[in-house]
Amino acid sequence: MMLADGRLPVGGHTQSSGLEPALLGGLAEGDVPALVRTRLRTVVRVEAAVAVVARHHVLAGLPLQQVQDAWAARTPSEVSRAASVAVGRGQRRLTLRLWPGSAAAAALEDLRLPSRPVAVGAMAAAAGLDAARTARLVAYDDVQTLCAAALKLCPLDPSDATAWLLAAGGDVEAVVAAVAHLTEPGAIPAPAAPLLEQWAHHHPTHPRRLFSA
Amino acid sequence: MPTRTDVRTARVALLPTDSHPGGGARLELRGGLVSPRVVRQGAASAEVALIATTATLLGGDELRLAVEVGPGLRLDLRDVAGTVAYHGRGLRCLVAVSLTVHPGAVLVWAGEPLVVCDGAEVVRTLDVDVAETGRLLLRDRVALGRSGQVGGDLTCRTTMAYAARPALVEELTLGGTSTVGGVGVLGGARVVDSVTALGWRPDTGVTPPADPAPRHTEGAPGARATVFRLHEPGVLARRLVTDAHDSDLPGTWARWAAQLPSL
Repeated sequence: MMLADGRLPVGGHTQSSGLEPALLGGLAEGDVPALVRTRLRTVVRVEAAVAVVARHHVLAGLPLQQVQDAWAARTPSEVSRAASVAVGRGQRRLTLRLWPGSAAAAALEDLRLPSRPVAVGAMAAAAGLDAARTARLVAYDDVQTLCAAALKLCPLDPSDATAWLLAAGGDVEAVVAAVAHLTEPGAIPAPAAPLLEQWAHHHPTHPRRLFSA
Repeated sequence: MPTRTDVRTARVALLPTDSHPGGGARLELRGGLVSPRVVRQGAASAEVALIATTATLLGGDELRLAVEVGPGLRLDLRDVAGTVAYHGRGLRCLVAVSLTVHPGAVLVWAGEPLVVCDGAEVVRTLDVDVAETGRLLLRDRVALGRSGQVGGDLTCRTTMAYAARPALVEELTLGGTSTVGGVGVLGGARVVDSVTALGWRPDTGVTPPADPAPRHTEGAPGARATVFRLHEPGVLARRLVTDAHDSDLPGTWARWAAQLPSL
C-alpha cells in the first residue's frame, strides 16, 4: 500500500501518466477513460512486465542491466526514457535508504539510472511483493496518477475520477494476468501506441504545463 | 492449406567473394513471393529491386524475405511497387522479413507501403540484426485500407538489435474493432510512416531542447515527423498521416540517405 501511495517521496506528484501531454495534444476530456484503456493495453503493460521481470532478476541474483535494456528498446522516445529515469532515481534512493543490504539494494547499486519500472520491480522484491502484486501496483499506480492529475487539469467532479479508477479494475487485472508469469527480459511484451508516444515526446517543449510527464 | 501459400523464403545476400578476401562481392538471389532483380552491381556494392511475382497478398500467403549484407559491403534495396494485402476471406497472411547487416556493412531499403485492405488480416514480422559498426537505413510504411477504406487488421512485430543488444522492440496492433478507434493509437490517421536509422545517428537537424513545440493536431498539413533518439545508436522518425502523400518523410529519407557513404 505504501508503494502505491501518492505521498511516497519519489516525485509522483510531477507525473500525470501521460494525461497532460494527451490533453495538450488535443484529447477531448470525455475521452479520458478511453485513454486509460489504451494505456493499460500498451505502455502500462510494458512497464508492469518490466517491473515483474526486474523483481525476478533481483530475487534470482541476476543483474538488472538486461531488464533495463529491454525497457529502453521498448521506449523509443529519449524524452520518455528521461522522464522515467527521473522518477526511477528517486525510487532507487528510497530503496537504498529503506532496505540497505538487501538484494534489491545490491542490484540497484550497480544500476545508477534505473527506469521507473525497473526500480519499482527492485523495490517490490525488497518489500516482499509477489509478481502479481507487483504488476497490479504498476497498473493501479498509473491509473490513480492519471485520475489525480485529471482533477488538476480538467474541471471535474472528483467522484468522476474515482469512478474511472473503479471502472479500470478489469483492465488492471488483465495486465496482471498478461505479465505476472514473466521472468525473461526478451519475453517482455512491446505493445505500442504511436500517438501516445508522440504526445509524451513533445511534452517538455510545451510552454504551459503542470506535470513533467 | 490453400494452394496459393508459398513458404519459400526469397533471399537477397551480398557477400564477400570467398576466393579474394576484400576483393569484391557476389550476390546470392532467390525468388519467393517476391523476386529480386539486379539493378546495378559494383565491386563492393549492389542495387537490387524486389518485384512481386503473383497477385500478393491473398489470404493464406506467406511472404518471406531474408536479406544479408556481408562485412564492409553496401546493398541498396528498393521495392518496385507497394504491397497490397487483399480481402483474405477469413485467412490471415504473413509478411516475414529478416535483415542481417554485418560489421562495416550498409543496408539501405527504400520500402514502399504495405496496404491492408478491408477484410485483410496481416501479421508482419520484421527482425533486424545489425552488427557493431554496421549501418541500416529503412523506410517502412504501413497503411490501413486503400483510399476510402477503413482497412483490415494489421499486427506489426518489430525486433531490432544492434551489436546483439535490443535496440527497438515494438508491437503495433492496428485496425479491427478493438484498437482502430483506440484513443492515442493513431488518432484517426491511416498511415504509419517510419524511417529508421540503426547503427548510426544521422544529423537530424533537430536539437530537442531548442525545437519549437509542434502542437500535435495529427495529420495536419505542415506538421512534422516525430524524431525519436533510440537508446542504442539509432534514430526513428515517424509520422502518422491520413494520406500517404502528406508525409514529410521523403525529405527526411533524402537527408539521411545522403549521409551514408557510397561504396
